[in-house]
Amino acid sequence: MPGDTSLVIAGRTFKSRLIIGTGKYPSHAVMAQAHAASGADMVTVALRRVNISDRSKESLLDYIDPNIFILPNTAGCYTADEAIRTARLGREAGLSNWVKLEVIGDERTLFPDNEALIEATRVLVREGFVVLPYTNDDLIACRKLEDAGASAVMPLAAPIGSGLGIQNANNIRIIREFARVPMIIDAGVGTASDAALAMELGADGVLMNTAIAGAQEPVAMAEAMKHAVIAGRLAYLSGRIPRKSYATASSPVEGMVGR
Amino acid sequence: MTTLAAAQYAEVFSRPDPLRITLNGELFELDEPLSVADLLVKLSIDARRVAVEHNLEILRRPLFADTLVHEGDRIEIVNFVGGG
Repeated sequence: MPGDTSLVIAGRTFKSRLIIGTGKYPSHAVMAQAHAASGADMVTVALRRVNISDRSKESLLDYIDPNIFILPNTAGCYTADEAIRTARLGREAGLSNWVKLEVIGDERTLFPDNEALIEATRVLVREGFVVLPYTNDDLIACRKLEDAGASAVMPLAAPIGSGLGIQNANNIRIIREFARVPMIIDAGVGTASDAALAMELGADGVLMNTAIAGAQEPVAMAEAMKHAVIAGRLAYLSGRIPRKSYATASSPVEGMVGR
Repeated sequence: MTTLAAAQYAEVFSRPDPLRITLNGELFELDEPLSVADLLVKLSIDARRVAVEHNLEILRRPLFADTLVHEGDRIEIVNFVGGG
């Protein structure tokens, strides 16, 4: 659409507003096809110990298009120290200073520990990292993350991997209204309409993994998500009609035959 | 003791004690002191694809060749895996 701008985070421009993961695909080959079908130009990865005893596994990186920007995460970290350590290792392994910062506060819900998240953001920003923190759909947490130097805020739609879609649309809308940095919806998307709704609420982008990787047809779902994000963005920019409680006829009410 | 047994005995006891390190949280033995770069080669790990922590300090890649692994060292070798 004329007048629309690209997604820009920390001075880096992305062609797509869809960011997707690399986990839980049936195979590396299916993942690569899904990446291509999604049009995403940024994907997330996790950092784990190399398997010393079994070196037979193929490297994930062989299956990621070199034109795709790789965003390491700190998934599975439960303290600020752990997340900071993982972020530093990710920078060393990956040649970029970007991190999707996660500090988890609860095992069952995987909800973030915002206090530790804000602390880790502050430390990593001081070290020159571009920090994209996964957080709650909470305006105040997002504002504190911005103040700590986050380059985007990434509120969840719903718990990670739940596929429940946006649980608090009004919070998301409010966060977008106040945020001074891009707002990416991260986690909880289940299907294309969830991604479209996120974009209609004004999200600058959507990040998802399980919704695509866990679908019965991951490649087709990746394409569906691509269209959903574009559709939602266009709808947001187009200015939707106000909601009304009763009907307004679309066809003329005058000139009816036989009246 | 036969000549053969004596030779084996001598061979075993002339060998230096193995170096014990903690590698990715597990006990790991090395026959001889070696650099981090050589350790990665020995493990068939592409140095360009990993990050290494040496006694809780991140080891920059240019230092792999000159950093020796010592008895009791803690080494972490990590790489990227699928994630969201």
